[in-house]
Amino acid sequence: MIESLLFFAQADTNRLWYALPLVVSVSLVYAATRHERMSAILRHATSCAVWMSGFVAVVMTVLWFMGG
Amino acid sequence: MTDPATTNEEPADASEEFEQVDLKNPLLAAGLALLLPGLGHLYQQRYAKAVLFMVCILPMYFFGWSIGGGKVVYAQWRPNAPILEQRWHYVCQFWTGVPAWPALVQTMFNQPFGDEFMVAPELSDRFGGGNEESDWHAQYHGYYELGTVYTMIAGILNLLVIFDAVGGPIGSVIRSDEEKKKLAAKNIPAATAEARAKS
Repeated sequence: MIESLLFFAQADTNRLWYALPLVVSVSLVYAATRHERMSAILRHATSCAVWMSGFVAVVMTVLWFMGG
Repeated sequence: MTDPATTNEEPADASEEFEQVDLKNPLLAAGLALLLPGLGHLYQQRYAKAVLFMVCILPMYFFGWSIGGGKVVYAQWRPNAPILEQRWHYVCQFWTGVPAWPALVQTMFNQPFGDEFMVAPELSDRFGGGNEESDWHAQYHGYYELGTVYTMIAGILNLLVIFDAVGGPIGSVIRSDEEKKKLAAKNIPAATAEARAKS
């Protein structure tokens, strides 16, 4: 029982990696539509990625507690 | 407090906030951006952004297409289905450009590229329940949905890119050649002039 739960937990964690390219690409493209210089784009993209990841983490935490 | 409009001081962030962009022919750039992400920016000689858009959007689209088994991009109108059960995903995917358009051609012109590539699923129920689309879901599990999301987001992002090709980045200054000449004659950096005007 515990092994199967761990397996599913592992599978769910692995699936989170699929969010990484999405966060990176969306942040970069969004930032690039607001700036022209690469330094400004990268700065904006970084803050955007942090904001998005934080938002996803908060939603996940809420769902985690609701599910538990 | 000193008013920058009445002094010669340039705001510290003026060069950052008011970036000048030469959009050449914006409509042509938009058309090219619609064909392929980054192509419009390549035409506008905004090379760094062109590469950035290509590197971000195209791999995302093809990765999504790949993990969904090449089945996630198709166009289909289901005559008897409710409006919310139509294939609206393709409305987003379409904006990726040429990589997504064969799906539309396949549907509109009776599958000129064969019956495997970007073809809409058979929707008739089979004996024992289910149809071809439910088979795809069963075969690819969550990756079918994930691939659909990747390809949809790629299309939506390219829509932003098209807007950027037409209007430049938000906060940028679009100047005609005449205005640029006037500013050059007065020896005023355009960014400073814009900062003064805004303040």
